[in-house]
Amino acid sequence: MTPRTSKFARTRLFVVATLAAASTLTACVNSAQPQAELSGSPTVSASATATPSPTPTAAYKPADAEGKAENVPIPVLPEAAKANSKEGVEAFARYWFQALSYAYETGDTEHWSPKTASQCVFCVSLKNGLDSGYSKGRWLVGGKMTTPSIRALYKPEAPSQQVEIQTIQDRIDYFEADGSISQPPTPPSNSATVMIAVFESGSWKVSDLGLIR
Amino acid sequence: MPVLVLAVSLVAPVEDAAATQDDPVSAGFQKRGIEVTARWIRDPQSGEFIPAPPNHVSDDPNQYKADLQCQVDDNALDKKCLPGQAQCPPREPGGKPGTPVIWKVAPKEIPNPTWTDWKSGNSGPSCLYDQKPEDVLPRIAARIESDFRNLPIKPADLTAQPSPHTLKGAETNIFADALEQQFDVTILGQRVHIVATPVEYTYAYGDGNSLGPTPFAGGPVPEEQWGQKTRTSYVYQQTGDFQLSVTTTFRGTYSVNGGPNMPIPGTGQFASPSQKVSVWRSITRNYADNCIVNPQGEGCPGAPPK
Repeated sequence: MTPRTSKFARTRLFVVATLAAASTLTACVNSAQPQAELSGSPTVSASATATPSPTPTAAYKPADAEGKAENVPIPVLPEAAKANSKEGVEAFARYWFQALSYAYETGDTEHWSPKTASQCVFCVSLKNGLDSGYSKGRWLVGGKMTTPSIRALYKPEAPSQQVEIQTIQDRIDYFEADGSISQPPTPPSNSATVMIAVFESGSWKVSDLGLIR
Repeated sequence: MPVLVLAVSLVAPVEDAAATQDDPVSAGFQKRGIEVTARWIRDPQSGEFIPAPPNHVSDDPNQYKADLQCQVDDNALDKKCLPGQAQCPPREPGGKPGTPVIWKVAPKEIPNPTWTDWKSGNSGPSCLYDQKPEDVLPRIAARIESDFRNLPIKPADLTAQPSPHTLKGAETNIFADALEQQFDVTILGQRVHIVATPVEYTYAYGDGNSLGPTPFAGGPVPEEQWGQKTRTSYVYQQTGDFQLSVTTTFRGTYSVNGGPNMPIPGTGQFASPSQKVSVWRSITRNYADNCIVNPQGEGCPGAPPK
């Protein structure tokens, strides 16, 4: 990118920020960080001004020692994950871990929990860990999850399906509401996980989860 | 005062609930799974995953490799990377410096896995000291099994209760006591740390019978319980002297220059010195009087030898 286009983009972004100021104060604060906005595509910001929507996409900020993550993109259940097929359950498994990763970043399990059965002991334990990590103003830094390998052992007639997943998690740091460190960090992990998923009334749900070891 | 007691009983349960919810706990994915022992294994027959049985002893679920730091292809080093890389100074004056490596870890179960950096506890740089550092780990791997079997691993201490004399037809408690042992050796110029762990025991009773291999080492029982059946007790059916022995199976892990603990393939068998057990028969006879009343009675000091 030449310096000239960069300057041009900044000018247009300023328009975005001014418009946003009319809507909400938080949006204004976020848009006031040109670094975060510039890393994205300036053309997208320009088209945002053209749309009638009053709320432009606020900048994503990961959590750090200063505070919680902001404007974390909410994972979307893809259409493919609604099919009762090998590809369907694999797409669902990918989404489920995106929703879990979102919960690690935000403490918000409301997207993840509806896709998780309460008899899944491991899942309940995960939720307890997250609830503890975000109670009383605490927050986590890190913990992002990725699933580079997902492979379903799909059997069309089986009541439940097994998915073998490589689950990688970044290191987690724990902070108290006052910014102090609440407990030692959890080192990164790289594990093989099995998910047991059940397809009921048009959607997948996790009934059990385990580490393969 | 009754009011105070009432107040305490009301408050206590609330405090308990708050404590369990508010205690900071590790939220790590893998850590939570290990804590609730959500362990699964692949059933070799069906290829499907099943919950691991409670007595399942899991091997290390990971595999490891060491990448040369700054290496971009077989012989070219990334020049820009070199200034920032870990330093591996010579280990003795006049020696050659080592080659820094980055250890990688991935779950064994996943085909073509994504590798992530392995971090040691003291996270110093890992270095290899060899002319061809990329070859030294495979060469160690090729010989570690036989090196392990030749280690001076101390076999189990073997005990029989009662001993050295026991009774035919009675439960003789036999147990092995073996310890985890650590060794620091030099293999192909690398410092290799080996941990040997006893995993199984094979008891030979000297009368042609044996037990095992079994994971049970057994343990001592108090004298008043001698003769009771234990998981490793044995009943001799004949009298005589028998050579009792135990062979302990050790498994090992090895770590090269501070790298991860990697499993040593196979096992090592280490026999304890055998010990003599004399098995006697006992005869119970009832008498109406004692040796004072009848000094000639059987078993009394004044009795004639039989």
